[in-house]
Amino acid sequence: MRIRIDRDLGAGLLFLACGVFFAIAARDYRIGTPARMGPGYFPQAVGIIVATLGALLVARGFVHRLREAATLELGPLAILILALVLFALVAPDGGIALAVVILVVVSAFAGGTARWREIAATAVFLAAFTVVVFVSMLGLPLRVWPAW
Amino acid sequence: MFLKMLLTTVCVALGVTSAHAQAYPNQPVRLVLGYAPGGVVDFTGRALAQALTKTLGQQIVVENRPGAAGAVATTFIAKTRPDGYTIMVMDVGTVINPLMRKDVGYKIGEVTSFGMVASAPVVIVVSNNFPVRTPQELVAWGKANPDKLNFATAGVGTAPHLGAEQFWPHVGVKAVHVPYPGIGAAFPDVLSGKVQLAFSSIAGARPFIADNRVRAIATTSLKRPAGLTDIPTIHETLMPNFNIDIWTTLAGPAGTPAPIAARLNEALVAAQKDPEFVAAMEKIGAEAWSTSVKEANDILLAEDKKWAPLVRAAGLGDQ
Amino acid sequence: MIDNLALGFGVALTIANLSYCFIGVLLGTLVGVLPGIGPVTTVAVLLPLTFSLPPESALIMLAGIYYGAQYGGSTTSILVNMPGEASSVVTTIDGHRMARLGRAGPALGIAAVGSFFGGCVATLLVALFAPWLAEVALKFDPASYFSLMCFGLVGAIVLAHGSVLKSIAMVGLGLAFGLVGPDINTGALRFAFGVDGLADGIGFVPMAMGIFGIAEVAYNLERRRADSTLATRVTHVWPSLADMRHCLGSMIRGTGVGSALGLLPGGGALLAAFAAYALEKKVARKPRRFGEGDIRGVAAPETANNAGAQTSFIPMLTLGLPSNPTMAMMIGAMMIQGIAPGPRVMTDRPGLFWGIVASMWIGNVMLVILNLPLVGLWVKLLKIPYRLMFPGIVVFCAIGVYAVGNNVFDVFVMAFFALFGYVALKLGCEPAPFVLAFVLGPLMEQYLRRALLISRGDFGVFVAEPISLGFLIASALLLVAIAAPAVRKKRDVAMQE
Repeated sequence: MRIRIDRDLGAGLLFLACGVFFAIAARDYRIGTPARMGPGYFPQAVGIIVATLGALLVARGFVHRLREAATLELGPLAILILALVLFALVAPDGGIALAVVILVVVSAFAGGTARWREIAATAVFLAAFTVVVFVSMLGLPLRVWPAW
Repeated sequence: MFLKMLLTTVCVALGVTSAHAQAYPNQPVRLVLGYAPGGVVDFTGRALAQALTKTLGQQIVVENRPGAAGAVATTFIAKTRPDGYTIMVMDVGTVINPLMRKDVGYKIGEVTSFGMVASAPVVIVVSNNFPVRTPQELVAWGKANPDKLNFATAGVGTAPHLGAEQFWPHVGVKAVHVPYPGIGAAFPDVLSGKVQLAFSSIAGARPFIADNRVRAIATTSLKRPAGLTDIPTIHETLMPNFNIDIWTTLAGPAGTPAPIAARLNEALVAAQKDPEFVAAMEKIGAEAWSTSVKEANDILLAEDKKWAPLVRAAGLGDQ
Repeated sequence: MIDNLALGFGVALTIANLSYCFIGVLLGTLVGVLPGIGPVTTVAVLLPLTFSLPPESALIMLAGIYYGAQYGGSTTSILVNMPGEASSVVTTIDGHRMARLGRAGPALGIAAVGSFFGGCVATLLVALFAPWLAEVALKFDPASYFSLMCFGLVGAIVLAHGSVLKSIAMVGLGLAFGLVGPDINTGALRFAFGVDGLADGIGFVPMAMGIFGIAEVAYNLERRRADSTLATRVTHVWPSLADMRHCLGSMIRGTGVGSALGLLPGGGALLAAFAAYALEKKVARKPRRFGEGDIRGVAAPETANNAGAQTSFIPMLTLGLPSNPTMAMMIGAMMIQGIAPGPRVMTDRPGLFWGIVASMWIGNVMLVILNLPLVGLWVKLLKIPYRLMFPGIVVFCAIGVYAVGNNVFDVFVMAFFALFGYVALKLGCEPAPFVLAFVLGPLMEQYLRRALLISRGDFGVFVAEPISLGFLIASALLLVAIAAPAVRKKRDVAMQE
């Protein structure tokens, strides 16, 4: 999962897309007048500005093509995001202890060097730390053990 | 020591899991509050929880579920099991949220009230450099100076704001609403006169009135509230039966069995006589408001009917 | 004045109040260090317990949590690039860079010393000028606040050391994301698309944890450093005397900026750290080193932060105006105690007012004693191999985000911003301006609309008010100052070609 793109071009496209998105989505809300601005006035203005800046960057990116290329390595990030999603799905019913263990084990793959004993120890340590510090000491109302 | 106290609270909170109704209540009751700690609803709810614990004979465990002007908590209550073990204290937001927002997660018919809790009147205060001393003078000034009047409130859809939207058309004055996130934030602009007046809770305005930094010119209940008896009401001066108050109600999911609702109402009415509760309400300029279950639900229906056209006419919320 | 302080110390130095102050600063430090769990959550959890305490003790403890968290907040920013609060975002810029260069110790040390310095001086200011300073806040009308926010956003552009165009675009995007949620003027729900989790807007903590914490982990891992440690070598544990001397000016300026902005209830305190950093970067000799691990880039914002935290008590205590959610909760605590925050607190309850002021000074002493010995311990943490450390960072981010309200949705928000932060970082767009704009966006819109509501749509108000005009002129000058070197650089590049 490696993507190579010019930094200006990439950033420009990102801003252009976000700006256009906000400007168009703002049309769902009343725009109003300066004296009585509707909920859409400010977001639309901001969206247009961001889109314009994005367009400028795209133009600049085309002029100096691939002079400052960035390489996006999405592998580790994808694993981290997967780990977080699993954590969020497990935590409410499965309890925070199990969710932390899953989070640690899955995200360890992002590091690329799998040493099973070490990962297991880290997972147990962090789960215990979470339960003691966050639940016992700080009193956060979290479910610790699985509900089933 | 604190951590220990915290722990016990948490344990009690987690203890509430499932219930079998023998003689209600046979286990702790969870009281959900729609706002974060520190506000009027939170304060009322906690004071009520202490009094109810005595009169209901069960521990009342308070839980804040703030978000979206109380809509998060009300949605949670609407979807919960109607067994009387999960109830809430809410304000006018219960009625206003579904009127203002398209995608609120509950309908007003999905909640039922067990009785009103308290009510606090609204006070109209004006800047010291604004040459108006009575409600009549305010209307005269507004008519003589069209499109000059600004008024502050604690936010869109709050009781003081809705009251103001009802008041201005009736007296034939046009005024621009300047909403603030909480009435406290409005006072710098009221003190300087940028915004000439505010529709405020008594609790919020009291320190500024006491310090002679703003002038109270009217209150909005039918009876003059304690502590402001020398200030006329709108009801007696300009608009008979004008009655706006910041109320709170004890509510739960629709379908709560009648015996449980009756038991809760009985305990609530008894709790409202608790001297500690009365004293607590006084601190925020409120008064206990005792009703039957039916009266309370009629009040909710009446509020819904009263505000629906106004919310539409004033263009509030998603529209 | 001496009498008042004597009264205050009389209140604050009782065994009970000293204990509450200590509990407050200890808890504050703890939650400051743990990312995600900020002072707002802590105060919310503890608030009900304070109802049974005397008002002085309750407020002394809550205040301790608040400024204690400002001390602790810098720790994770420096060590692992995780800011738990808006005010510690700036500290990541140079602080974390210092940690990577093996200078985490001096960074943490100067943060503690700077916080102490700023806290003490600002407390003195509160004691000397509180009644008079309270009136300053009243001079700011909505138009002035809007112009101040403009100034803040231009300052945000100064933070970045890359492309100016990208920084401006990041500011715009931050404004846009900050607008998600209910519109305060009409109550309309914006950009929520029927998603319940967005009904109150995007949370700061999940956004910041995603952009800084998780994205940074992904960025580090891709460079295959999993077996190495984060800092290649740890040279000093303490800031040297030369470091201290180097930072003295920054700390004095930071205190000034922080104290002044802390007075403004409508978002001023938020700007303190950003403004102090921007000012340093503009006045310093050799400004090139900012962003590369310059110790002044840690000293200035940390000092400003704490100075602002102390002076923000002035509008709260004397006008009843909260400058942030924690303060709003403290106002709630006062009301529950039957004290109406406002102009009369100082005359009606002098013991309470001066007791809090005195306790702030005592609390600052406690904090520096508590924090300096911890520096050695924190630095040791950096010797843990990164392959063991990064799962810990991920766990803390996840717990911090999830725990506040058992909120699953916020974990997804964090994952989204992790992706956004990573892509932005790779494309040379720095996150700090985005984050500042995210926080200021809703405030800025609010003031803009309020000013125009009152003026009936006349944009002239922004130049009619002297304070507002002043900030607009300052913003314009700053913008020129930023643009000029960029233009010059481009010309140099063009010449070389």
